[in-house]
Amino acid sequence: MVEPSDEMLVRAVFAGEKAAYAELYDRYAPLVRAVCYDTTGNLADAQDLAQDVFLRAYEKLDHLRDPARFGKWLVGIARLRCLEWRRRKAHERDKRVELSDVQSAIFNPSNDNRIEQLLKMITTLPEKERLALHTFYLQGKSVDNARRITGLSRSGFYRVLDRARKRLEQLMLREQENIR
Amino acid sequence: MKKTPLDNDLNKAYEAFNQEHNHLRQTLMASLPEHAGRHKQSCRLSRMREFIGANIIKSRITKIAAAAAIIIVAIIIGVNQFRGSIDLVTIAIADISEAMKNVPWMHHINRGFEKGVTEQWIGFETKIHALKWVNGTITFSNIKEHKKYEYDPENNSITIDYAYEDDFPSSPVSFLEDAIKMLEEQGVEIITKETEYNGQIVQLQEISPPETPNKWGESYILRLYIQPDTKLLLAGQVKGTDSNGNTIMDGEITFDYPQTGPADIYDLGVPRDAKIIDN
Repeated sequence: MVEPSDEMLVRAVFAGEKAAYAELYDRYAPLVRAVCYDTTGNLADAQDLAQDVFLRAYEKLDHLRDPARFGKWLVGIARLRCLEWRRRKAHERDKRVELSDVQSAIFNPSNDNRIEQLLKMITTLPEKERLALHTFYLQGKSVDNARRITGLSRSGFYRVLDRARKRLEQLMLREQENIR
Repeated sequence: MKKTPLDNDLNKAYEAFNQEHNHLRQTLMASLPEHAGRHKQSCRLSRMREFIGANIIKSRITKIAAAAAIIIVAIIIGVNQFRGSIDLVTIAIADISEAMKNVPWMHHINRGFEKGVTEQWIGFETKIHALKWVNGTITFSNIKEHKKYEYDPENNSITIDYAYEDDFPSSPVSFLEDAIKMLEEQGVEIITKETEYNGQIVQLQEISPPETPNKWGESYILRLYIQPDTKLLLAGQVKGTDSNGNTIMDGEITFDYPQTGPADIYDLGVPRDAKIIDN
């Protein structure tokens, strides 16, 4: 069976097929959560933000000019929503509990400290590199899917991905040296 | 790409973003109905028109050689469920697909759609893609040179951007092939006739949903005109009426397959004095 394209799914949503939106959700929710995590630094907030992103996208779906670019458009909404979240958090700064405490309390994906560190390191990379990693590792390692969202050429995408991986390796190496 | 220990770690790390996915999806879907209704009421028809007249044609499905297939898919997705035999259309579309692989240029003109594209050229060998829009916007992409030119009639300006490889249809038939698969899954009923179109004998395929009118009281019929010798699509027509018999859609896309097409954006009628903005 052929997997329906984003475009077909968006059309189906317009036709009233709610299930098609669930399919788009399955396809993009992990990516949107990862983009949100870059801002929130904890998974619980990232999950909440991502839910909000999908609700907004649903409400504004008729603003989407080119349904084939649903993924890219969705990531744009996520970035905007993250910006709002960051602003709101800045206002609430006084009330805020130390972020690192919250992070360790809420987010401990596999009780594997190394993995947790890795995710935190990713948040320190430049945005373009983060998005390249997110799209590649969350979109079935399909470079074409990833390119559709990042808007990079094939060679450009590989270049950015490679740079991100090298930078991560360096960061991890430095971290290990610090521990020793 | 060579797999490294970092790759394994990254795979593990990214699993975190799948946590509670099913529960979160359920929660989200439960909160959608009120919005879904709004979409359904306000957008369905306009999106259908736009689907045929605009977005699809402007998107990379401009692979569109297959506008007719797009219309079929539009009807299937957007309007109704089809049932019945598939063999005839499979053969016909497969034949059209085969024939389209050999054309140097495809050009089509759209009539009767309120939005979107009025005219389109695709040069399959030259990798040139040009569009004229209802609102006067004109785009010209030269994929080999990675240049996309967009004329804005309001400001009399041409903006130059980067044109990506995948903005161009890799094959004129890929969307047709997708359409065939969808048709196979959905089923569709077709009547094939011989008829006259613009003074020549052609094959006419009339496609209409078996459940007519549909649950919104609308009736649609799609007609495809195919040149029997070359197997090229000459035209696609779609007509829709509401429950009162009023026309809600009456569009036609006519195709031709010239040897050459526009060489630059000025060939499409853009004024020479338009201001250039190079991004």
